[in-house]
Amino acid sequence: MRELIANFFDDAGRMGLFGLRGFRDAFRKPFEIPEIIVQLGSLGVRSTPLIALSGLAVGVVMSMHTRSSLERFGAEALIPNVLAIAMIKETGPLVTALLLAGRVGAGIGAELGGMRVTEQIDALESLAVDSFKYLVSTRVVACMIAQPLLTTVFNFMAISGGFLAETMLSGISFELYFQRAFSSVPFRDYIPATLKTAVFGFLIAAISSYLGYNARGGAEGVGRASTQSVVASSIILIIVDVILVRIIFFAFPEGS
Amino acid sequence: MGKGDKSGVGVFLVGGFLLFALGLFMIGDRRQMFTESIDAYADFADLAGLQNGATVRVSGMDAGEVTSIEAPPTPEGKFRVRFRIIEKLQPIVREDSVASIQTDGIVGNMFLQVEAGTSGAPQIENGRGVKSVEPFQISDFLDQAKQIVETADELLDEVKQDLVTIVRNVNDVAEEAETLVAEARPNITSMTASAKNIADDVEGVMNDINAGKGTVGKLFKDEKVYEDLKSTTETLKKVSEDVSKISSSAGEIIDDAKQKDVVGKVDQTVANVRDLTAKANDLLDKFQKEGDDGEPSMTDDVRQTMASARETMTDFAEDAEALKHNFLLRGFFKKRGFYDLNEISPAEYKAGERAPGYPLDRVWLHSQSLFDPSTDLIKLTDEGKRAIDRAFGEFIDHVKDDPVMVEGYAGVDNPSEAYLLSQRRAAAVRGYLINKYGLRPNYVGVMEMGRVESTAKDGKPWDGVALVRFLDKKEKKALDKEQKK
Repeated sequence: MRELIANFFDDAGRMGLFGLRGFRDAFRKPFEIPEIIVQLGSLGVRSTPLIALSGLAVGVVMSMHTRSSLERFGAEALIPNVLAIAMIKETGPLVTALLLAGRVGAGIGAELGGMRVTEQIDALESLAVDSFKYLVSTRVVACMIAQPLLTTVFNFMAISGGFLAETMLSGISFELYFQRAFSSVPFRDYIPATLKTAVFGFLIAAISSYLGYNARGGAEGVGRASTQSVVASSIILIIVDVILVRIIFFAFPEGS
Repeated sequence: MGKGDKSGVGVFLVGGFLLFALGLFMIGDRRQMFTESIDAYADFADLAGLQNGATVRVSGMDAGEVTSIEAPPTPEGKFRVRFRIIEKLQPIVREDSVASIQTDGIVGNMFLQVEAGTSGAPQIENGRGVKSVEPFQISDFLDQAKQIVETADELLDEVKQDLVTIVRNVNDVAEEAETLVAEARPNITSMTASAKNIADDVEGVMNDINAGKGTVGKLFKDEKVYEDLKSTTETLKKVSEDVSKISSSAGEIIDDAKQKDVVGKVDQTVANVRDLTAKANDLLDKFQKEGDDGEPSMTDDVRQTMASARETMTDFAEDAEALKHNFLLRGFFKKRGFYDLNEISPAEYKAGERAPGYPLDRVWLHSQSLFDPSTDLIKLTDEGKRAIDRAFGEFIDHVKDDPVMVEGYAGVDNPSEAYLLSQRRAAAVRGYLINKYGLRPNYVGVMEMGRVESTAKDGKPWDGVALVRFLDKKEKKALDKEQKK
């Protein structure tokens, strides 16, 4: 038991240091800009359809649920407000991060794990390429950039999905719906909630890279790294989110 | 990595940032952040949960937001709420505008409502303050609602008690009315009987009564008594309807008060209920007993009217009886039914004179001793007045009870002239008698006899005035005896 706890903290410390090193190395020459762009393409652009579609679906579903609840109080007019607040403040960032943890975390874990067990990383090292910087830092930066943008896409798609569902039921106009939606969202809810997803992006990339980069034991090790990436990044995401929300409340007290 | 991939990344990056910026813009736009605006402030002792960034509405239009809230330096001080208002709405915000903290519905956000000012007050300038009213809290409302419900409960108890009293009173009144009717029935029967008894004599009276002449006639013809009774019954019915309405609306009041924003309505209804109850009581009081100013109540009125009717009938019967027994003029009385000497025609009078059993006490006064010859023998002289006084002296003991007839005679040939002259002479004497002795006018009659040939030896027609009193047989006998002596 004691060993287990010791191992947990050992892993956590290694993971933290690994991530921070990856983030720090990104600002060291030579900047791996082309590789960052490549990673943005595979992590960000290719995730966009998934995120957009999920956002739309979540928006439609949330709108319908909100309606059935608010109808009881005769407060249907508040549906856009409620939906926008829910999406922008919490649902959007968290769902996007979890989706990305599933898609990207597994990808990074498997890719780096595969490279490790097939000794490609060692090959890079032998070519005098800083494999850590080339493989990990670029992914961390790309994830940190992509995450807020994807969250924004998710939010807008969700609010639009809400509009579709709402306009079919009550015939509300596009303009009125979006005015209502944004009327009760202050900047202090919009900006921190969106920017905090950069932390989620960092966590996903760091955890998955760590597990893949340190994979051992052939194909089995690759599979394990891939699975662990998704599970670990998802759990840590949610825990960190709790802490982040507290921090945001602390920094912007009137939003609490 | 192909060019397509790079373009995709570019689109992703630019599109994502634009989308994020769009969100920022929409939020800022909703908060009027990109519109020219002015700053103003209002002071509140209680913020009711108003926050920085809360919407500001001017006359219901979104106009900006709360920019800062300054805490008061002392316990007596007030929070200073600073807010922005878009310049477009500056013209309607005046220095007498009133700011209040309100809620969007029951569960909505708090916002700052600024009412438009009056055109007489100066327009608000940047950095100036407006007046404020303290927010109305839901808890205050609930407190008030609770009070109202309690009041309504008390009131209902009161109404219930009042209702019992009212019902009892209504019963009493109904019983009284029944008794009254029962009492009145024998009276009416006996009145009818009495009326029947004298019907032969007073047929004319009845005709007149039927025609609505005279007080008695009016009493019988007038539907007011009946209408009074009817409207009283209707009023009572209405009162009980009102009372039942009150109970049901009181129930509604409590339901309403428990659910909706009905403070004002409930207050009003409570006042109405109180008012109605008071009115119902008033009405019953009025109906039942005398008012403070001694005005008789309706039942008293009815009772009094019945009593008056009874009295009048009795009087009438007595009068009729008196006339029948004491008065010579049975014949025409039979026809006329009125105790009015002026309505007797000379022919009837003459016929009555000849009727047996009703002898006359007559004093003769010649025209020459009465009238001034220069006035065509119609104006009384002083000497004539003294002569009348002497003659009337014989009647004085009886004039209170018995009617006096003044007969006028004229010795001219023309019958119509004789008629007129005799009437004037008699009228002159009658006027003198009434003035001097204060006789009842309807007890002093004028009878224009016209030209009447004398049975005396000189053969000249009568020319003058005769005072006549009607005697009953007893009196006549006594008088005869006296004369014989």
